[in-house]
Amino acid sequence: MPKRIVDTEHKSIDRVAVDALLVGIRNGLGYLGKEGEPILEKMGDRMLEYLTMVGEVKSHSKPEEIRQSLQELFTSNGYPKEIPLKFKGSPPTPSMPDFINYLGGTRKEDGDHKKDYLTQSKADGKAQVDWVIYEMVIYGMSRGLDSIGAQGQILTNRIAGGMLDYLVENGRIEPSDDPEVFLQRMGDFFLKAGFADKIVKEFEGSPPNALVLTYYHSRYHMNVLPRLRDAGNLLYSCPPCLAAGSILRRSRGTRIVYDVEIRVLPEGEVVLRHKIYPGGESFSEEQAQETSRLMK
Amino acid sequence: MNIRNEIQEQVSLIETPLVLLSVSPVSYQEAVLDVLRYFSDRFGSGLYITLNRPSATLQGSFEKAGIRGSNLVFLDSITNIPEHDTESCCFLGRMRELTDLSLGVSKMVTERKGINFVLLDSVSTLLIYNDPKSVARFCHLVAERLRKWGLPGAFICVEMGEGMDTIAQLAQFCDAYVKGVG
Repeated sequence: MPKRIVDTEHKSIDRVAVDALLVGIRNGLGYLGKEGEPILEKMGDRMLEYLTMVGEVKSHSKPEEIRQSLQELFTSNGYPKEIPLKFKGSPPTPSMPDFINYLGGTRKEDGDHKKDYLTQSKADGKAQVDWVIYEMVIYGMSRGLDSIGAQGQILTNRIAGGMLDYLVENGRIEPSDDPEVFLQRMGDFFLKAGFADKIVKEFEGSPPNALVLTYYHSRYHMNVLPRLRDAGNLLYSCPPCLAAGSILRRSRGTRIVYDVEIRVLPEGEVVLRHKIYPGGESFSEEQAQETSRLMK
Repeated sequence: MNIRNEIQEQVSLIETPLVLLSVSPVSYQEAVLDVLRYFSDRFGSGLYITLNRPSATLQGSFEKAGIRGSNLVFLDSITNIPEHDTESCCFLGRMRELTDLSLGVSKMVTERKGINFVLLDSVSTLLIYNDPKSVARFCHLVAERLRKWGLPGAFICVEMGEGMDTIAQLAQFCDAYVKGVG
């Protein structure tokens, strides 16, 4: 596994990017109600696993040392000191069952999620968090959906829709009826937030059948994606790519299969080709009849 | 009541039942094992159409759950490798079109011996890159063929908060609609 990249120009990211993803997670899974809690808990545990994997928390540490290093990481990033850390089994294994609510600024009280401080970061965009927090959230979100396989992409897409809505509602991305303009503004937001040094977008075909996105020094693609693929995770969870998919789906009714091709080039350049499926019927009545004739 | 018992209750008197199983994401893994146990216990060997998890991953998890992998052949359209056949699996390539899938199913059922049931896992995966109407049409075609071939089967769906219209449509041409709870 490559060493985690930490030495690019952007060491931190606009906290609103993290908050938007957390809101997306809660809204995207909201339809499950209480039944969705095991998924949120799994996401939390996988987030903690990411911190261990990249060395932010030493796996062999004593419980108190783990608590301390987590407190240091989170308080230095503007989160509350009271982290929902628990230890299970023997030897004690750390677990953060209420991690999503902690990060999202809500606490579970008598089964209800009380809103606490989530809106803190939305106004001016001055709040920044270390990139490892964002990496951790994306990794945990993706791994938390491991058990449902590739179809988890539908939930990931819903989460991205919720994330995009949050950024629009909070004035961080100005929407447009023209998808090209909307895509540009969304890309500009992520660039300014510190997602990558440069993002280049290109469509192939007419009408478009592929979206090619090139990222320069994107920590998601350098640090998170290889770890997800190593773990056998089938989902694609790059926030700007998913937001692009959301915009295209809503404006043109198209569907996207992400990460059909990925090329990692020198100098921190990553080229991704996402396949676009047109809106409308992919298997018409005529095609069904013809296929039926061909089936034995 | 677990899913296996629920299926048993609804279709035990039907000779070649067609089941629609709709489960929450939380109970999905367990539900897949339950439905597979029911069909392999009752009908023996079968075809597992996997669109959602690579066949190699499934074989491992079935083995772990005590389900004999040798009872199954796979039609795999999720593993990202070029199209080819092995003794236990036909790899179609990742996320193939519905026409290719239909023909793949037909080829497997007619050319491989010992396929006594067919499971499709999952309808939800098809909704990533197809519209609901086309997915329903594809499932209807597969269901018609299963009836013609005299084979029982099951369509597995995961409740994603969307695509419920598709589930309602599929329920109309299945013998039983089993809704698994977490």
